[in-house]
Amino acid sequence: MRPWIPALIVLVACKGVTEPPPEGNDEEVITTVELTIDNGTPFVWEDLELDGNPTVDPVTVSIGSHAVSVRFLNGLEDPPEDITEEVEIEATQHQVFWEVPAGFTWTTGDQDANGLPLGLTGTLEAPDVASGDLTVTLRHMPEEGGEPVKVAGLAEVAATDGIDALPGDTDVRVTFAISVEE
Amino acid sequence: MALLVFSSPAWADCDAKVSGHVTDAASGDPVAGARVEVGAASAVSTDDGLFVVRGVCPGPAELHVHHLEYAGFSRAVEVPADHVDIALTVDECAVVVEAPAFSDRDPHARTTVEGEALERSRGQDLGEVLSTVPGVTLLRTSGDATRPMVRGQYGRRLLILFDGMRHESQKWGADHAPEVDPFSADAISVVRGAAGVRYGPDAIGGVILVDPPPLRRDAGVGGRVDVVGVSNGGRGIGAFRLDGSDGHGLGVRIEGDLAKGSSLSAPDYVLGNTASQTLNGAVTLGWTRDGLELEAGFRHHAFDAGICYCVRASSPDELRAALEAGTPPNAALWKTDRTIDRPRQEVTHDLLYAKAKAYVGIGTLEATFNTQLNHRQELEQVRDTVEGPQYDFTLRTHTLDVGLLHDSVHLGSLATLEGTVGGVAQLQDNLFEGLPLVPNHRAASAGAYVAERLSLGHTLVEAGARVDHQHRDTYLTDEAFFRHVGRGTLDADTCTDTGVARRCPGDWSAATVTLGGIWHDAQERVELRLDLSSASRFPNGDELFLNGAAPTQPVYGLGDPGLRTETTWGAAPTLGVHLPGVRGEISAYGNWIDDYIAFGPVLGPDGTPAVDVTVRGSFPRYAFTQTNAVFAGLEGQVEVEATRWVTASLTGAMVRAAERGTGAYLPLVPADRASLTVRVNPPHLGTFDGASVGASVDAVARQDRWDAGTDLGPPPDGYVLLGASASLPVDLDTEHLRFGVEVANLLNARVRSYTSLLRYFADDPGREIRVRAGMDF
Repeated sequence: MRPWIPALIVLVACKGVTEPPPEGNDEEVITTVELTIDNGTPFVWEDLELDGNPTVDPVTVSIGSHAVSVRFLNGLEDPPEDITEEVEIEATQHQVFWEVPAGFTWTTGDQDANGLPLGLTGTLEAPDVASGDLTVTLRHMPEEGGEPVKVAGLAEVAATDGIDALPGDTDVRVTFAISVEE
Repeated sequence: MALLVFSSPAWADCDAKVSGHVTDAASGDPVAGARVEVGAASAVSTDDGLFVVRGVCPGPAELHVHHLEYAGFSRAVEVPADHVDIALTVDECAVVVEAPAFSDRDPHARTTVEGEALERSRGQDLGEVLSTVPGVTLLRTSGDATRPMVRGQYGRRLLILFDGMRHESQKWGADHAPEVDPFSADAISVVRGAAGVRYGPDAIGGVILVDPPPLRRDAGVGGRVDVVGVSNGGRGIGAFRLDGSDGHGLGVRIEGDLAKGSSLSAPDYVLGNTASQTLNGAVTLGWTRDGLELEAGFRHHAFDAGICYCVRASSPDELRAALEAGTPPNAALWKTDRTIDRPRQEVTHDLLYAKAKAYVGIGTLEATFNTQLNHRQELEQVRDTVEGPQYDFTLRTHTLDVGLLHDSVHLGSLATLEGTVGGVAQLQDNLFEGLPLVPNHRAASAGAYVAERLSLGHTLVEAGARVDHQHRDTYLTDEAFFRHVGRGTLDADTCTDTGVARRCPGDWSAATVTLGGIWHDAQERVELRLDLSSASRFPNGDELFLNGAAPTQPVYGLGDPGLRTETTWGAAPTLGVHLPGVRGEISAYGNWIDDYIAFGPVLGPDGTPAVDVTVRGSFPRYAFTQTNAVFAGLEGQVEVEATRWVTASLTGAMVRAAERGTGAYLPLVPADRASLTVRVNPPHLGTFDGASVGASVDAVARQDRWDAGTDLGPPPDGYVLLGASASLPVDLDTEHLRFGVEVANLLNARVRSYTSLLRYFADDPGREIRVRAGMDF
């Protein structure tokens, strides 16, 4: 609660409307999602203008098994801020969910401190020549009333009831067009 | 405040006056509408209880006072006379009414909550206090706060005046409750219908007048203390008011209250993270001498509240999933807890003002200057490395208001003309930090008005006109500017580059008129009122420049810098009946709103809803557009005295709203509702006089008039809620004690109301038992 006397001082000591707002570091902005497959050049989903009009690289993979990792970045900072590090630090409150086209399989390759899946890395098994949508969702699931809401079996919940049946909030939900080339 | 004087012909040598003040002998509150007669001349007391009888012959005379609810009063006076104080006692035979059905001589439909009705609401916020008024609906936010809706309008289409001053807050957010302290009031009036001339811009749906009691004038110290406990949320509330005066014109008031509550509970689960804390404090100083009245005050309000964990609006699909789930997914984890966790709001509102009032030869001149600082911080659920608020808005407003209430002019033998001319000047700054939503702006506004009332015996005619203008410079960041230009929503040439921001100017004008009349029969048993009024509002910053995820709705929102002034034209007849044992009022209305600013889905070139792809998923694109709308409805209240002991009160309201032309329904219009209250008031209990017990039934229909295109989920079912109450006043020699208990949702029924932001996610809070004790001294 704001004490009375500072409130009075603010009445007198005005900030300017004509100036740009002060740089806030209290924001939590993600502009960029990078998919790295077999240590190749990342495929990028990016919306630096935050205007709902992103550029998305089409993803192409060969038939077979691939090591996949994902990074989340705030490209408005210079150099870009890597939000992935914060996700790793708070791994027990985060999980990345992967929705792959029919015929593909996804296996999560990492875990948080509680032994629950994290999903920043994993293995993508590509079938014969095929294409479809690859959707990556980062779910932030902070404790509610001091109780953890990230629990076992959430990937199954997402698979059967959809992402929206999960606890917490969606921080990232982006879709890449993926195709398999011989 | 409206001053109205009925006067008899002024004889050549009878030009003296008698003035004074009418109060309630028990409460000391001013009594409005009392007819004061001196010889052949008479006057009616104003809202402040003041009266001036003009055209009286000098010398000894008999003064008679008549009021429907009070026993008659007579005394001798020596004309001319000032400061004639008249204390009226309640007429035991008169019908006791919860809220006076008859207006304070206002052609608008108008209800005042005061006295016993206001006592019964102690501990509730403004929206809850007014929810018993016909035509007013409670809009529940996503935490422990509500806001009032009048005739289906709220927020930016509803004006709140605290002690006559416009309450300037950030009305654009659906879950921003008004920062007004009901403990500070001794009367809260709802003026229903457009009232732009008398009150200025934004009075589209109506005006809420929160009026504190007058400062103490007798030497000594007095005050009140209130303690309230509320079962749901385990809330404790304490309030005090101290009034002092030296008896020579100096009056001082110090008041404050604190409310603290933990999470609210729905019948089947706790609404996680709905704890809240409210603090109010104020100091008021007044000085009166030789017809000059000065007053200055400072008020501080602080509100800190959690937003229910259950509100999950990441995407339209998620919202639909929450609606289908019935019970929030993690409800089992939530506990009754005093901790206010993220997501939460932290709001402060400060008001500093000075008023002067003096008689200047042709009338009473009143000038008010006030500065308001509204600061709102929204803290979202974020990763631990992020501290502080994600949204931070400051609204700074300076307002100068000058009005002249000219002396009544006698036109011939029957007619009296009364009126006010005035002007308002305002400077308002909006500043943000953190995530942009409403850009920085500076708005300079000015308005001028004239309103006159002609009294012709049993008839009163009111007419007025007003003009307002606003110039607003909006300062966009480069990112926001290019985002708009890129979208094609802003013409780059309209803005100039100041080097640090893009200044985008805009001008808006409004002209409003009012014409109304009141007629009553000689016995004042039937009163007919007709109100033809208009009101306007200027587009808000978010409506002009929003570009991004919208607050409280899972959509991508786009503002339109080209929006024009919105204007409503209203017609409302009101019939009041006041017969022995029966008292009632019914109002009908139609409001035609031109250039109604609506927020709705945008269709793509192929006719399907447009979608924007953000990093958090795909969102339907919504935009602010202007259309024409119509709101029409009926509301009323009838009170019947079944026996001397038992009164029954029935209120009801219906609102219909649609877009003109297409007939499409508008969102968030309250469903039809009716409420029956039966109260038993045993008479002649001596020390306990005024004790009562009551029971109530509230029935709300399902809102079947909704449009799947503008609402993301179907409306909830209708419901019936039971309530009960009891109050016990105790009159001691020097103190007056008040005890009461009120029970809402007695059967702990599971309901969701259409006008609740929680309704997609969780049930409304369940049973609430409120116990209150108060003391006047």
